[in-house]
Amino acid sequence: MILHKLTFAAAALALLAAGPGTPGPAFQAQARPVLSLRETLSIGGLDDDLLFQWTGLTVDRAGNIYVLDMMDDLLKKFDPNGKPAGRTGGKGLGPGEFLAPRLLDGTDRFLYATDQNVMGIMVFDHELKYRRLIRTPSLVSHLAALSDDRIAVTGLSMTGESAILIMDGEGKVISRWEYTERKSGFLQDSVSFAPDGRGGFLIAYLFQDRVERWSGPSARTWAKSYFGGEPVSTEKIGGFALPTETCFKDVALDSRGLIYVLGGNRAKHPGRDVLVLDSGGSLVQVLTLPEPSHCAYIDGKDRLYVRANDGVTIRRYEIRYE
Amino acid sequence: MSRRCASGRIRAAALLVLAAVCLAGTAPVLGAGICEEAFVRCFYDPDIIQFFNFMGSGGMFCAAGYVFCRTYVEPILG
Repeated sequence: MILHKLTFAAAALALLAAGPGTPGPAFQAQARPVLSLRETLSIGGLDDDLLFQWTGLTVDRAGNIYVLDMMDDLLKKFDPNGKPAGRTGGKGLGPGEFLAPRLLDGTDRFLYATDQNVMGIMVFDHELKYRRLIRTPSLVSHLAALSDDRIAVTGLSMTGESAILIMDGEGKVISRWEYTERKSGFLQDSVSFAPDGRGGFLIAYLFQDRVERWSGPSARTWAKSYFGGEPVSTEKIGGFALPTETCFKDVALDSRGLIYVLGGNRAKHPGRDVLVLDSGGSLVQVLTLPEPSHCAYIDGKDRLYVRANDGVTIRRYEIRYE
Repeated sequence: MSRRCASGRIRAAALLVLAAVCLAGTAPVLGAGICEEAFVRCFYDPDIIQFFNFMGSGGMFCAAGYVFCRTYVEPILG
């Protein structure tokens, strides 16, 4: 019974995913464009069964693409040309199984995956063999693999953790980066974050108009707003003040140090506008994707991976610098 | 007042209270978006809460679902 309830939402999403997409690499140009995107790969489509509703994605040094699919509860591997190269997982609560796969990141040796129902991080190797579960103090809301034995996670809790936890491979907390000065309200501390390449983190708030750079556990380098800075409105529902707008859904960094922040529904084109910032947080350009995405992943070769066809397709773009 | 009349008034009052309770229960959902509605339904579903209390995550499962809905599902629904 509970499994049926949990899979209901995924089934509904599958029906939605059958709707038509709007492919095509059309981007809005700025007055003086600095960057442009060129599509170089597309995996999955409405006519095949490679992907159904992908969620988390990561890419290894060789260009292999790993992706979680919440419709068939699988971790899938594709080679750099987009050809299937393996799959593992399946529905369940056993080792290496998923009920609601969500986040994925990787290092040279391991892949780290989360499930919305599991307080922990599942570790796989690059051959998709399940290794172990790293326990976490709460449900994981975002993660970044820093090295083979260092993971950064944020968690969800009623009290609001509001901290990035740096954990070792056994789940021991090495350090805490508190990123809010005070309790900011239910879910207001929801963030995505990315290592900044200098030992710090970039933090983008889901329900606040804020992007921040932190160089140390208590050293915020800058904090900026890009949509006017007004607080997100909340709606009192069922005793909870739920935030009703999203500001930033994901943040990533390229090899040049440019920061890419995917805008939520406060953006002019919700889920499509990618704000490109310089290292100081100044807006360089806005790239507009042809379709909304829930994430923006940049690999080691400065290629951007986003969602298309409502989750049926992965699109890869080369970032071109003028 | 006759005993029959009093009984009728009590029954009517009970029906009014029941209706008010039902309306109060559904009021947070009326007019809310799909993510808000899903959150409320999740939070007040005894099976889900019991299961996730057992798993150790309790109501935060519903909060995680709300965040995921806002991030992933909302753009699909437009």
